[in-house]
Amino acid sequence: MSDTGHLYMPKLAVIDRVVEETWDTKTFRAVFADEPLREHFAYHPGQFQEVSVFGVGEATFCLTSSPTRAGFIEFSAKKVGAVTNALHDLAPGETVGIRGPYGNWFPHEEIRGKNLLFVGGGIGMAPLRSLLNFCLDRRADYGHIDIFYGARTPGDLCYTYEFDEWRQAPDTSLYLTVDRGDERWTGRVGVVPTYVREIGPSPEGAVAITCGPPVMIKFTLPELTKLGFTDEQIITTLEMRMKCGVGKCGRCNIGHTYVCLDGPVFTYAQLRQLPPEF
Amino acid sequence: MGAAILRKSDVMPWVRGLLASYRVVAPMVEGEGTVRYRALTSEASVVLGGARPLRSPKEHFLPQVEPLLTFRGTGTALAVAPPAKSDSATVILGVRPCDARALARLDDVFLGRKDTDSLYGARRKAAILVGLACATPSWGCFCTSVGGSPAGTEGLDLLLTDLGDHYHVAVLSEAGRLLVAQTAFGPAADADAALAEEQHAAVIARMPALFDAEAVAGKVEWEAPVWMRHAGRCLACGACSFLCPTCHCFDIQDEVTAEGGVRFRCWDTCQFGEFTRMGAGHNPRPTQTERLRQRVSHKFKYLVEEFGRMGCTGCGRCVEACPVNIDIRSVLAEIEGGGR
Amino acid sequence: MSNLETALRETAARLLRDGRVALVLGYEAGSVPFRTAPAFVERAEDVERLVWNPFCTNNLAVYLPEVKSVGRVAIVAKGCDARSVVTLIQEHQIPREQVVILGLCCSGMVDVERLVPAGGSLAGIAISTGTDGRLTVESDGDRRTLAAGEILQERCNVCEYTRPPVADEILGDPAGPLAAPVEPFAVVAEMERRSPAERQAFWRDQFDRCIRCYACREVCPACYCRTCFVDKAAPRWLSRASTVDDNWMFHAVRAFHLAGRCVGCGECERACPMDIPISRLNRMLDREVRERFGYVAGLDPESVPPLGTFRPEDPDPGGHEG
Repeated sequence: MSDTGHLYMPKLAVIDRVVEETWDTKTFRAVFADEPLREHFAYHPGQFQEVSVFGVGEATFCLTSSPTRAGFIEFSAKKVGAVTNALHDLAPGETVGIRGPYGNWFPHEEIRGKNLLFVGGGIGMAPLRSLLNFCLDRRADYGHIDIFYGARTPGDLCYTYEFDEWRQAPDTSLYLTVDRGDERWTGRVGVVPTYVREIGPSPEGAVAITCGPPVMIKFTLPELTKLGFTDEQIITTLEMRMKCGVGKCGRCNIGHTYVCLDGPVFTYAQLRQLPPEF
Repeated sequence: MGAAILRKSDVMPWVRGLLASYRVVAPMVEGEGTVRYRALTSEASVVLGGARPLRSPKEHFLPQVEPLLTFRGTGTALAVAPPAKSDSATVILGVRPCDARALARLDDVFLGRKDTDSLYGARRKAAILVGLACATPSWGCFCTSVGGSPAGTEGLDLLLTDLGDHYHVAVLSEAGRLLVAQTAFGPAADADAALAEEQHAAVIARMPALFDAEAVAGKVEWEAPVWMRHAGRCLACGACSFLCPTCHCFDIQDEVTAEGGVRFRCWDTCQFGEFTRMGAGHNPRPTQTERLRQRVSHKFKYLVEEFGRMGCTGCGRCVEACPVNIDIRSVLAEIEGGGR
Repeated sequence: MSNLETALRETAARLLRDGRVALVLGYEAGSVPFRTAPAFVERAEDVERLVWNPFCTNNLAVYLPEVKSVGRVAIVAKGCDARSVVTLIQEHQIPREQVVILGLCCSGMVDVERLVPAGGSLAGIAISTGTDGRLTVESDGDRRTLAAGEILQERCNVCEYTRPPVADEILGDPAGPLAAPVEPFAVVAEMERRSPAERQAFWRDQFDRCIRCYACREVCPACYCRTCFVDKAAPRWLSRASTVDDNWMFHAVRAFHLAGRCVGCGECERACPMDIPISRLNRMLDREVRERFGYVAGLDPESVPPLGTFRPEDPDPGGHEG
């Protein structure tokens, strides 16, 4: 830490690729300016970073790339405010600041050998993708994988260019759905929780990892419980307004828990211990 | 660790001597009578006495605005530089016991919780705190209700007690001992120590404990009418938090300048409406009720759970500054009394 | 307890019992003898909480936009407060029918610092009111008896509307004269006697102390914007950092936003924890608006503040006539 000056000094990274996922979401691939860091940057799926556009500010993004794929990192940003708008205006070759990785991570060691049930909605797929690709890259370490992913419309689905890879991975099923189809959509129309209920994945030796808009989470949880998943078997990652990322600025606490230090990954059993303020 | 005396007439000569090796910060009166801890400019403006000032020395360790880095250039030519160092040896005079104790609470967060904040740490390490026992409480003061005292020594290097034409000086640390080794200080007699203690006791007697702060942590409840009852009139300004010597929440922002720009941190408060509002609009603390609950719970429950110590030293500034008379002492008394 | 306080409680009880209002916004005893706290009384049996004394300094109009969702609201209003209510009505922040203005003829609010001798402490103070209305103040061994009128806040000493100009009910002496002629802009004239360099030095000094707590903004009934210009990130108008230049910008722009709307209640200055005499800026612009547009804020619910409208015959100081 001392060689970079202090906790809040970012590392410089160059935007190397921008993918337009939807009308308001882009995925940015960045490579660290410092070569050793570029190759050996270590992180875990589920962690987040503070990305900054110099002159505009910093914002929090989860890492969507998997650490099994070295040499770059990726994060996805929805255009909602000053920093994300500025990011969306960036072209490859421009420099951003990155602080991190921060936070805890998906317990990828502890869930080895288990069947995995991913349930994602919209841009909630971003942190799940990091863990998903991690597990697919170490396929033999994990059991059967089910992926449920939904969005409002087909145009709101992210990472469409990876769907085939996910579908074709061994012992892996991809279930896509949209709330509302369009002229070209031939897939399922309906909400994610209902789809989960219909397919009914078994909780035997399984772990569910979910992230998405509050309304999706609200209706998915009861479905998982009905299927027999315990609160300890359901893992999520919380979205909270964060600033420093290192437990100093006081913004992200829920009770005495700091989302940037003790989270953002929590099991539902842990969330139930927290005051309902998120 | 010993004691000494310092004649009032020797204070300024001593301070002038300090200026050779230290930056000296003292409570200085300015403008319409506000007292602020500032780098010494005019000796005439130094105020060592009276009620504790409305501003605290907190801002020397966590300034209202503090540069984190500067940047210039764009693209691959972008260069980022750390801020100028602020670790010059400093003596802060007239630190009240509540404020010294408060710095120890800030240490828990900035030096204790996970990573060290070296910006704060450098300032802390470089500072020697010369305390002043309070001879008169201010109307909001309640340090004795939260385990403190107007003559408390926690976090101080020296504690001065005003005995009329001289101060009794309690030496509390090695750094303090080095300061009193200077010629301005004389030996203390037993009578001085006795007088100082007498004065301390007299002031403490004027400040009966208003509630049992230890008991409060266990009685803070999530759903309770006490929050809305007091928060209903809160106007969501930052007066309480910004003046509070233990409050430390901050924001990080960028500003563009002619040369490029600066990233800084600045004070923020959980009492502002948009403090927890997320980009897409969801706000876990949408009204003042939730925000008051956060403020009180954080100081009297969450910090106790994390560090075993309250995040309040009873300085009473929030009580005095609140434009709508939200009195944290009333809130706590209500919670303790089972008014929830 | 004064007759006025009794009358106020009876009026409030009547309005609540008759169902004419859902809420009475008033003052109740504070945590110390020299403060009162804004009170929200919803039941007739709770009107005993309401007080009226020279410590009822808050401008309660600040709560109207937020509480109007409960229904019709009665508001205890001094002259300045009533004018703030009028401003809110003019600007469609609350319909006229939804507010019952309980106007109180006001003899002024005490400047709390002046209760004790200079350098004295308010700690442990005891205040009692004699039958003659004079206050007996005991603090730290000092005992004095004085009339509240001797130690009023600056804005009360220059008050032009001791009797609320618009009200649904008036309590106090309705036949009493309006305040004796005063010079409400004396403080502005005094500032103008200073050279520009002196004024700049003065304000730089003041704004150096500003910590951007926004107490001034939050107590002001006219500052009701959901997102204040200082809090906007896009576009970013000024920085949140409390540098002298940014602080100055904030206060100057806010003063302009209030031009023609500020009623001189002085709450901004009272609320400022750094003793910045911020209301002088507002006074100055108040005088400008009166001189240029012949308009006084908060007197007529039907009119519109000058900076909120345009008439072809408006004076043009740029000299581009015709």
